[in-house]
Amino acid sequence: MATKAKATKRIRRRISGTTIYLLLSIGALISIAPYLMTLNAAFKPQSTLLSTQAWSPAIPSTWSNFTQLWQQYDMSGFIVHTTIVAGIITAGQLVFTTLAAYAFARLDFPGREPLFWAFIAMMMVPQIVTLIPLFLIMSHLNLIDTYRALILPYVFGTPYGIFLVRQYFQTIPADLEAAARIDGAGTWGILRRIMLPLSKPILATLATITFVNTWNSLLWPLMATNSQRDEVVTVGVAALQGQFASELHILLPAAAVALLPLIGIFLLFQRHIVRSIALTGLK
Amino acid sequence: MFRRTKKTLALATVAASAAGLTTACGSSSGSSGGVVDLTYMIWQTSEEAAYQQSIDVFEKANPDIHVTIDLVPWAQYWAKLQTSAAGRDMPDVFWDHLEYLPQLAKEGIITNIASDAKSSGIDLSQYSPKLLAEWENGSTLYGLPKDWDTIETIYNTKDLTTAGITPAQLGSLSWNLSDGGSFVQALQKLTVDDNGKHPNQAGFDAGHVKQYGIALEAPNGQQDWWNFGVQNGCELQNKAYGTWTVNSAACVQAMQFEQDLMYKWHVAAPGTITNTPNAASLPQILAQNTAAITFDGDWDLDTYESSLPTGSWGVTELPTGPKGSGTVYNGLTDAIYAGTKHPTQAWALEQWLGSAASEKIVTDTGTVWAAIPSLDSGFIAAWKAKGIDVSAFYQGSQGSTIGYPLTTSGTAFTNVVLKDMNQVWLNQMTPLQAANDITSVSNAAVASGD
Repeated sequence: MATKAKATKRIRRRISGTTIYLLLSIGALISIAPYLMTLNAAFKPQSTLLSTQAWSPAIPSTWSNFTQLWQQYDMSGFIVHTTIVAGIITAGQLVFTTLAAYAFARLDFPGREPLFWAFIAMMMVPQIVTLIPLFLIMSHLNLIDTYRALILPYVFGTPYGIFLVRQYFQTIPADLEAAARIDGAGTWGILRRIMLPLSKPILATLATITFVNTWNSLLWPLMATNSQRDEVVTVGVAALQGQFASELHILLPAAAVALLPLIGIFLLFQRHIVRSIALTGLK
Repeated sequence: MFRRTKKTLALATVAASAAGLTTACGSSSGSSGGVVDLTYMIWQTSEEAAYQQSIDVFEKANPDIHVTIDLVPWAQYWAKLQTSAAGRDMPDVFWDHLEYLPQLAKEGIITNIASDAKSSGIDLSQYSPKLLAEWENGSTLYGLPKDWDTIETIYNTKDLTTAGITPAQLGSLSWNLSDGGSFVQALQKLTVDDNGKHPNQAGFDAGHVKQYGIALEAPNGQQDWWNFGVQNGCELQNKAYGTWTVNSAACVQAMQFEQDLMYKWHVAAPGTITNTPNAASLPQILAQNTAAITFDGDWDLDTYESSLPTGSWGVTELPTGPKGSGTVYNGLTDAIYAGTKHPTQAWALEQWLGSAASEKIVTDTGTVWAAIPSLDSGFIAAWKAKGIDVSAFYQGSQGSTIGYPLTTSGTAFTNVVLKDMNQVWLNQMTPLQAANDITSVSNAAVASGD
């Protein structure tokens, strides 16, 4: 009797396990299907791209779309420009966000709380609202169509990033800091030797989010740049879409190529991101 | 400890100033070393190469002017233009569309070139008079015409052969409001359900159609019901810059005819297949054989050519309606930013782009029809070399046409048309309801805009 009940339980557990994995697989398939179809279509010759269904495999397949992408369009240029912009913004945000978050989390100064909440309130302002004022500022500074126009608005950190890191800093016990102070450490020393080593997961998360957001950002680079000199990958890819006719055979491989660095970055920092989410409950 | 702090500080400073230092190259548009930089903004990737060819010639003749083409996709083009207008930092010369002309002119951000054209001795009579008239308003002219386009029938050759219809027959069909005419008869032959039955045969299953006779798709009507409209005597407005008359009997009948093609005759793909903006593009619908024919503009010729084998598709004339033949006729100009820092050079570029020499370069590549009619044979020849007879577009432009509506209420009209007509093509709204709504919303926008 007892062994039978045990067996039923085991079977039940196995079924529920199977169901969970089945559901997860379906979810994964739905999320990954558009990317797989993009990649698949990137290898289709132009003559079969529109006449076959998106999910039918690319047979015969061809590299010609990719060679055309590099010969007719400045794909390497797009990627280099985007890497410069995203790299500088990410580095800048790591530095300035850490400083601001530490100040908001640990330093005592008058007006800290109102200042913090006013800053956080900026998260509620949609980007589109600040678009024209930002364009006006950059235009008056004579910075339109330069890298600086792309970098300056975002390099000093975003409310979201500062909030993220501040919340994390607050979970680090104040006693650690007190102990360090007794040992003679100053504010800089505490930040560098106590806070930063303990905050690697959240900083990796911030770096990934910033890099991915900058890489994917379209609206501001589109408004702020006018020439190939500083054209980023989103603007370059979007330009392949016409009013009615789109160069799909170039657009799809371009989108696939533009995706690769992001997948690389994610794989690199994946462990930290999962850990930071587990630790802070933030996403 | 102090030394370490200093080091950290230095590190932070270096990182911060990296932003400033590494980006100190790059400069904004202007003049350097006596050479003036102009920006020319366009929205069509497929036309960039031909315009670059033309600009190369211009730069050779004007070594003190350098032109950068800024290609911005249509979806963001007008947003970018409005933003840069607000920032008083617009491209010097840019493509202009009739849908946006009235608003741009009203805001005073594009240049009235009427007097420049006169003093430079430009022969405006070389342009198609119909095209020029759309861009002229009294004593104003907001750009030299650069091209035109019309809508014609594109067909799948194999489907025609199977149905026993020749391209010549397809090009001489007519429709009417009572029995649909020879146009509906031909489409019945071209429509096949899963069992091989046609819509006029007993047992036809409208729910399982393998191939529709026709697919019609347009966000505002340019490629579908405006064409039936002009063939039925419909006028969208009482006059240019006037009030909307979309709910006139002739216009409502045109919409009704298109809805009947879908739900009465079952020969046209329903809105579930063709409603914009999410539908497959018309070349895709034709390439996948969802439909045998379609109405489309000459700007899509490139896409048909690249996605269908040569000889498997062709172009012929639209059917005629109760009031005869007709098509939508539209064209673009190059506008000059009113606040450009280099008006002389911008005018030189404008003159070049509107000249017969430049339009010939672009037209002879088969990129667009030229605004100067004497050059249009070059477009036909370019496509003949590729094995396609595109002369139907030219025939259409010579017949009776309907132009793009001219109004400052363009945005309101475009939005309400998209919303209501999608309902009509889903058979969830009657054409009369839609027409009344479109007319009242658009006229309210006209009234509030003045």
